Amino acid sequence: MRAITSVARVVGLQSADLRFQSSALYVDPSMVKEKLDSLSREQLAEFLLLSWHPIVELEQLTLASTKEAKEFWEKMLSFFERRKRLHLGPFAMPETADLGELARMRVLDEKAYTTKMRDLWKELKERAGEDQRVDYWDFIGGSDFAQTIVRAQLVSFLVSYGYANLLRTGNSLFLVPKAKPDPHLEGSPLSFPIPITKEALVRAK
Amino acid sequence: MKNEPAYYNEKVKRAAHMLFFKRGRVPGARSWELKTGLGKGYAKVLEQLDESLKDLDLEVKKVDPQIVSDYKPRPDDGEEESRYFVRLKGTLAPKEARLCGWRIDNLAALAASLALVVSKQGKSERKEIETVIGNKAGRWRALTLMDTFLRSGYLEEDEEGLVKLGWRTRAELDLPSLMMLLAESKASPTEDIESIDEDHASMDG
Repeated sequence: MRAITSVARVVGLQSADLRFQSSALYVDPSMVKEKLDSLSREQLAEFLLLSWHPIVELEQLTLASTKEAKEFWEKMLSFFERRKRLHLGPFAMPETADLGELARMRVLDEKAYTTKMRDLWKELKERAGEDQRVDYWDFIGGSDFAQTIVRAQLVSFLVSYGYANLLRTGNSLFLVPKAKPDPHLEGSPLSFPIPITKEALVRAK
Repeated sequence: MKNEPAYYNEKVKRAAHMLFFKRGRVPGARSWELKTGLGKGYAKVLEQLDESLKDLDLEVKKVDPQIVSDYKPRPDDGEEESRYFVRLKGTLAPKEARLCGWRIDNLAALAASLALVVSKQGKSERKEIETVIGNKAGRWRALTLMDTFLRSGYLEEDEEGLVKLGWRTRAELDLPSLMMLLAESKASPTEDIESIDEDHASMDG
């Protein structure tokens, strides 16, 4: 009986093989490999597109998928259980932070940049007084190096946006405030890089 | 008799809902589902739906199980196992395929995989397919693409680790046309590197 079953199976397989060979799909594997190696990606993609009729399907949330998601959620371990596996040590509870704290952490600025610029422009006008100008290095000097850099950056914007002019007389640089901002609509006519090193600041003092 | 067209219209609408909206992992509907939802004359309803979809370049496609990959004889209740889909009647232009999220690389890799599996009489070793894709798309990409094709149903992997054509290939691909195009093709002299680079830049996934 087993022998007959085996013979039937062999005949079945031979029949399947014959049907395959007689179908339009029968191609010599080595020829296919050769073709695949020689054809470009564009050609292969084009052949696929010419034989491809994609299915139209509309995805939506189903009752079955919702149930599956609910089960997953219910079986999922708590956040603290999952965290234990990572051996991250004690967990610090999240705390709230106010604007002042965020500003101290330098995440946020207490003042908007434009407000800072206007304040500096006002300060520049006051310090210029009757001379109508202030020494650049004197003006940008802050309480520390970081503060000096911040002021220098703000001054660069004051000059670029037409709130002040930068004059160069010999080796000295002067800032001349304008009564009204006069922006260069076509952009700044020139760039003037000023390297701010600690040595330069010491020299200025 | 007087109400027959209206009766049919309702059935056609219901058939459209059953075929368009995905209710499980695989889109479309099985014969028995359609029989339950539309009655014994569901085939006639589907013919009507097919007729209505023609103007939209869509069609109803019946897919028999395992007709290509295994050449298993159809069971007596084969009709009960058939699945119906709505698919594009015509084909997509390369630009449309790109808009659907398909890269040239992916299309070429799919064409190569399918051609190889077909040439191997419906079953091929995974490593062999990955090597062929790797020649076109790179080794790492070949591994990802292989997983994508298996996940989306273009290919299936059996218990022995052999890869065969999946349900989506049976539903979407005109394999005789693909094999014919491949057999009749001539290699292009050089690959259009520029267009591939552009494709890399514009598409992902």
